[in-house]
Amino acid sequence: MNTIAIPPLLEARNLVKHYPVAQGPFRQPALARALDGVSFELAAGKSLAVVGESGCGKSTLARQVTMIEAPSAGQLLLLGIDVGSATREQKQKLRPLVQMVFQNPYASLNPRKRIGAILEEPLAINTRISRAQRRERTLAMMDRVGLRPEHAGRYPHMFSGGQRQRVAIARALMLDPRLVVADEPVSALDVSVQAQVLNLMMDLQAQTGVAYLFISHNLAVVEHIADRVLVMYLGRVVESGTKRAIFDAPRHPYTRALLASTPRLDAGARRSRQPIKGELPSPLAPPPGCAFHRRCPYAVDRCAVEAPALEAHDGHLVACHRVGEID
Amino acid sequence: MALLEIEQLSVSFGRPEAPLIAVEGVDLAINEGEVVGVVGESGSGKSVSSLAIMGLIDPPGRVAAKRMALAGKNLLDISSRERRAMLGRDVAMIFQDPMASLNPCFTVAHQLMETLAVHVGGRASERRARALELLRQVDMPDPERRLNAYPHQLSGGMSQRVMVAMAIACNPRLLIADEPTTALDVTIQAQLLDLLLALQKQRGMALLLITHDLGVVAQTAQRVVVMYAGQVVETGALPRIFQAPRHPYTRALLAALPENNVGRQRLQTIPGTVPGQFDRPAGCLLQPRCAFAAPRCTQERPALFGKPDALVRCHFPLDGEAR
Amino acid sequence: MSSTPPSLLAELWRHFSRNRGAVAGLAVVLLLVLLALFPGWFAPHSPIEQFRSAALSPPAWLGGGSRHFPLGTDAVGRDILSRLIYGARLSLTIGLVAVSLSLSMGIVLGLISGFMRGWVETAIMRLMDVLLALPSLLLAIAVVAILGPGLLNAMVAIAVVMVPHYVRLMRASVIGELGKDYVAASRIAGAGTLRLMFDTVLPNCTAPLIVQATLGFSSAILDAAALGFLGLGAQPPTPEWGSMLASALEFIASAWWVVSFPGLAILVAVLAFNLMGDGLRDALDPKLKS
Repeated sequence: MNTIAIPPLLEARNLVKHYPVAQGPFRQPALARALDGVSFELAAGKSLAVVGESGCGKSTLARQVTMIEAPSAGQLLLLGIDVGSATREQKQKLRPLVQMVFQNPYASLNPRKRIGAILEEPLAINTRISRAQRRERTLAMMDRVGLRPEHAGRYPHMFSGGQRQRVAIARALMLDPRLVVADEPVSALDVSVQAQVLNLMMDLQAQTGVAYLFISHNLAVVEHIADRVLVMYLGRVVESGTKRAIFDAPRHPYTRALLASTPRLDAGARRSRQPIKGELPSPLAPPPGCAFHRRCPYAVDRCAVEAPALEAHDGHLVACHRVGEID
Repeated sequence: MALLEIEQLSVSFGRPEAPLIAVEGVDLAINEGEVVGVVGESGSGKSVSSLAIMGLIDPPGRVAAKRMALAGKNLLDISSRERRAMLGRDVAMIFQDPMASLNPCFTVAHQLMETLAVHVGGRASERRARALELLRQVDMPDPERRLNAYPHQLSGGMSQRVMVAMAIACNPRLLIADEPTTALDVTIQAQLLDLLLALQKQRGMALLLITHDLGVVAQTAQRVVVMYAGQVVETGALPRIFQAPRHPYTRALLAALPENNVGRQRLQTIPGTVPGQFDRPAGCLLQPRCAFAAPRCTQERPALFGKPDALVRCHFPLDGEAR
Repeated sequence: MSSTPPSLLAELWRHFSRNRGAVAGLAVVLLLVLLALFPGWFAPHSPIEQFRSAALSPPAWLGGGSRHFPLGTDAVGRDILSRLIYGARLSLTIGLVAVSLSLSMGIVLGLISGFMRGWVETAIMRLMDVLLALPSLLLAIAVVAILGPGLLNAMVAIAVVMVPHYVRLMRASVIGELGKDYVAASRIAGAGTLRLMFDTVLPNCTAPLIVQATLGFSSAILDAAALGFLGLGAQPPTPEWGSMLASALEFIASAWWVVSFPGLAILVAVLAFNLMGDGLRDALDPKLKS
């Protein structure tokens, strides 16, 4: 078979991002290792969920993928083009392909602009179409996300959280991107509104073929919407695989702890839990060896010394020394 | 005799001609040592109810109740000063955002000792020892060091533990927790819920847990009160209420959860939105959105009825017991 | 969502009108604007016409006064009321020009320092610190001394003195807004720095600026009066309130009306602007929070 290698929509190779943190005028700045070697692939039209808690680097990853910041090391490839070494013209062409939906619907819309203006802005910046055409496209998009035409003249503070999130999704889709980074898009919403917005996102994906990089700490939502899952801890990927592989047979102790800690309605579905103690470590002072070893119920001496690499195991990629041994 | 009895609690804001009704005719009873969960979405009135119980609603908010009694003593008869003293001692409350609940200018020790000074008294050295003891009881890692820390030096989970320590400092009979884990990460949330339950069992303390997370309630509470648009729409014991809900809203809420939609492409949703200030229906408040609405629902507002442990506010409850 | 949501302006008016002092201030300001726009309708005489025979005549209600000159005349027989009315136009113009100049400079410098950070920000802010360290009146005098006396130069001097306040306010607002998601969203949509500055961030920083500008009006009027008093601002025969005060000091015992009425005019104008500015601040604050 003659295959032409088509690059995946998004590929990260050992992405590293460190932030210097000032420690006063007399000391060297400390380094917050927000991303410490992250690699993954995302195919067109699919949904990759990034799961993790505070300090795992998911927000930093969002900023990297949307090209707000440049990586400290490693590569980020969008449609095969290395974003870090792209020329200005290339970057200008790539920009409309990646858009973002933010977590907080109350902070992600400009309070001084009407909805119509907010939605027209991406078109005004990136295209040369006339005002009337912009208006037309805006109204069409509003209709798609379930907003009425008269809403275009209103300000964000007149809308509920769910409606604002619809506007945010509409804005992200105005430029017909290939990838939308959704950073906790439904976490701030009520359950019933959450369901509406998730349905909307999945419908839009089916209609437009857009891919999602879906960041969430809510595993129930992830189980519904994702194709593949990436579990992160302190700037590193600890496990990655298809949704079913991760949820049915999690291999990394942290993944198991996350799943077991998720409150579930059905008592039968609750996983027995070895309560994991301790706090999430700070990215300024990562533990030596495996970042999770201090909280891991299965840690052995080797874990405190040597950081495990991501290895294939049973269809997943897992970063754990004892992956074969733990049941 | 219940520990806390509330009858017909109502809270409204705004101008009297066009009030914003936050809570309408809520009855609530909590027994000693019981864990009760109050669930609802935005606008359900669950948080406002708890603030009203604690006397934390400031004018121009208007609070009215037919009866509000703590351990049999009617709270409406006594002066506000006495009420504050009673509530401060016997009822404690923790809130959602621990970073906002702690005073950033003072150390943890200072704030704990201040709480003890107000309600328990004693010399400074005694109170400090007690503060350390409290931090141990809430499983604070490295408690001696944390005593001297300022709130901004603590993580979310640790701050919440300090809040719990302050809350249990005076051995309250009832702890009201308003979305205590919503701002926390999942693993820390699990730790904190375990802690609350352990403390509750040890001290025989009643726990009123207010949350929008049905999973959290299912795992921690014994009894659930479901609220919608300021009213109580259903009460019942777990797990029955979530396995066989009688009110259409409870059922719709459960149906919207991702975990109840495994295998479905689309989640089941409730059409429409919660009534706002100006479009509160004359009949049943859920009627514009209810799949089972009948003409009677538009005209007549249903009352809460049923056995004390299984009340429902619906003309046509889902188990067929039509009124 | 309610069926007919009120417009932003209607909401603003509702909050503002609760403060009676602010409404009174607004009313006086509107009156001053009216006087400034159509002085000919209200003033009985020309402000520079001298009625030598009626020099230093007292106000109408005192003995020796006449209804021709309701508030009396000054040392060379000019009608004080007419001069005050024409002076309103001057004072408001001074306020408007000085505030506009300093506001525009302050906004630009504040935006640049908030967006650029680094050494550009440091340079600008230290320059502002130097300006702030000097007593404002002395600074204004220094500027006028360089540029030469005259009303326009006085306005420039006052503007220079006020710039640091706006720069600091603007920079603080910008830094606060830059961290917010909607700015990141605009960046991701491809907005360049200029668009981010003026289209995205600036409209959200206006509230403290509006309040400061209103208070700046009254400050400008006072400064112009002080400069005029020192002979560095408006030159005779311009009917500027401060110069009227200066030229009349010697009469404070013998013909009190020549001094008091200009002083009263300054007082009333400054008070009106301050009350209005306070009311604006209160009205804009809760809206921002909600």
